[in-house]
Amino acid sequence: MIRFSEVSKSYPGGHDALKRVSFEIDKGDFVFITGHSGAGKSTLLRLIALIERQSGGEIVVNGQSLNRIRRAHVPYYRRRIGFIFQDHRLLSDRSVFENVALPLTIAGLTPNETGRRVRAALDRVGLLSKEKDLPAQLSAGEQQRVGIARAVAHKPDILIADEPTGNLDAELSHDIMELFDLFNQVGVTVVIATHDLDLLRSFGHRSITLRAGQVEAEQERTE
Amino acid sequence: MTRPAAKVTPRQRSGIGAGGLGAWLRAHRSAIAATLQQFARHPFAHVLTIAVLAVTLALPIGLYVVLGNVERLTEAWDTNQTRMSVFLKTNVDDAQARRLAASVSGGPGIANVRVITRAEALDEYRAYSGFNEAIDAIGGNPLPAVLVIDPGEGADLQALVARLRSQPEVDTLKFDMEWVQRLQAMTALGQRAVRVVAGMLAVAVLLIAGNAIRVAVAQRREEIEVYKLVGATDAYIRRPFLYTGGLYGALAGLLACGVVAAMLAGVRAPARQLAQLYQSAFELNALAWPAILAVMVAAGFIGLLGAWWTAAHHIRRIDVR
Repeated sequence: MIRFSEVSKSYPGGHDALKRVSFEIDKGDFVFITGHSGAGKSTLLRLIALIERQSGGEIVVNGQSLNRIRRAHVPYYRRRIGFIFQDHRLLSDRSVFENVALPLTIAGLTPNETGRRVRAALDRVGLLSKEKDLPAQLSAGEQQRVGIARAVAHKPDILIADEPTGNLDAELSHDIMELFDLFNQVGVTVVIATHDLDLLRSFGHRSITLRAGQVEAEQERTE
Repeated sequence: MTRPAAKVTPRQRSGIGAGGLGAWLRAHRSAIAATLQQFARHPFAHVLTIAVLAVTLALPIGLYVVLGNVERLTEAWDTNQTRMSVFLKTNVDDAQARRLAASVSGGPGIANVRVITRAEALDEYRAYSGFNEAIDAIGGNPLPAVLVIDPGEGADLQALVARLRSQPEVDTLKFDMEWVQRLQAMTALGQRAVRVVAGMLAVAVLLIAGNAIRVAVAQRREEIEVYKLVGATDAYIRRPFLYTGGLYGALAGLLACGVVAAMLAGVRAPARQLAQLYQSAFELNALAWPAILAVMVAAGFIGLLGAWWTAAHHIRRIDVR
């Protein structure tokens, strides 16, 4: 599903964020990317979402080499991915419903179909009753769940989350992770960057540990 | 426009990406809705931009209207007409003027003679010049009597002019058409000037609209980032800004026409008085609806162009952080 072959990313000024990183994630996998801050976790996720381009090596997603996706096709590529940030990045002047509907409206779905899918996504994250609220009226945990609903509303093949629980306490974090588990169980490939090792251990999924831009360790799934 | 996702095999295709005309229409409908929402949310900023554009547009529109009226006025005169005004010396009194009129009328090449006595000349001047008090201060009547002569058809004008000039009472002689011809020449020049000014101001409108859109794009940077994150194309993000630019232009055009119409209404009565002075039924032409519509379309197009120019550039440079 996602294959990194000798992928490097260096920034102008000589900083190497990733150095010859290779790994493979199968379809339907649930993988944690972990490591200290600055280890290259975010960069790795941003390369998958084509927010940035690698400097060397090859990334293949869904059998498609990302090198070959031209700029004009990036939006269509992103429609097959759901991305979740630590800061939920919701539009503060739109209701919960409108926020979740955004990827669907952009993709040109009919209002009926959009409404159906938005409510399904909100139902999944347990916020169906808050569809008319503005993001500011919600708690931090609820806001993050709206962000997740937005990321899954268009039924992506891959869910990518960068420190999705960074702003949440242990209990809420656990709830959010269970939500990701739920999506993983219906076949969505999930990749989550986190430095919360306790959380990581309690779920026992496969993990890839980065250190200074290189793969330091890989931990297989523990059941 | 929604293009089908590129190079997506059926296996890869997730349940999204409706295409076709329906999606295209929905995209435009949602862009128009987004534009109107923006207008409703921040009316003041939008009104301000429209006002600036309207003032810029009002100048060339006003000049065109004035020129159009002058042109119509001079065209109404038959420039082949050779009516002449014969100004008598100021020491020639009304009685002498009438005697002279009687003696020349019926002469060769003369169809009609009308006398404007010194008193009549003064009355007209008082009525229309507004220099009432100045005339009172001078005391007496500084104006000469005038003979208005219409030469007969096929008259030998040179001989007629020579004969009139030789009369001791005659001071100067003017063909009325001379100034009409001068006015026509000036109008032609004016038209060129207006065209240059209009061109420059069209560029100004382009820049103002473009700059307003640039600011709007910068202000909504975070929103644009989110749109890009969830797969919006540049074209999709650009669309509401283009509608906004077009709407700016069209509304500013309408407002500018309103301003010009108000100015025309203000000078209508004096213009009518002036026309009466020349025994003319001339009426100022106001802006007709087709002209207003044309202004709105043209200004809307310029606004759209300005928006396109900056929005395309700046939206392209924004991406998810």
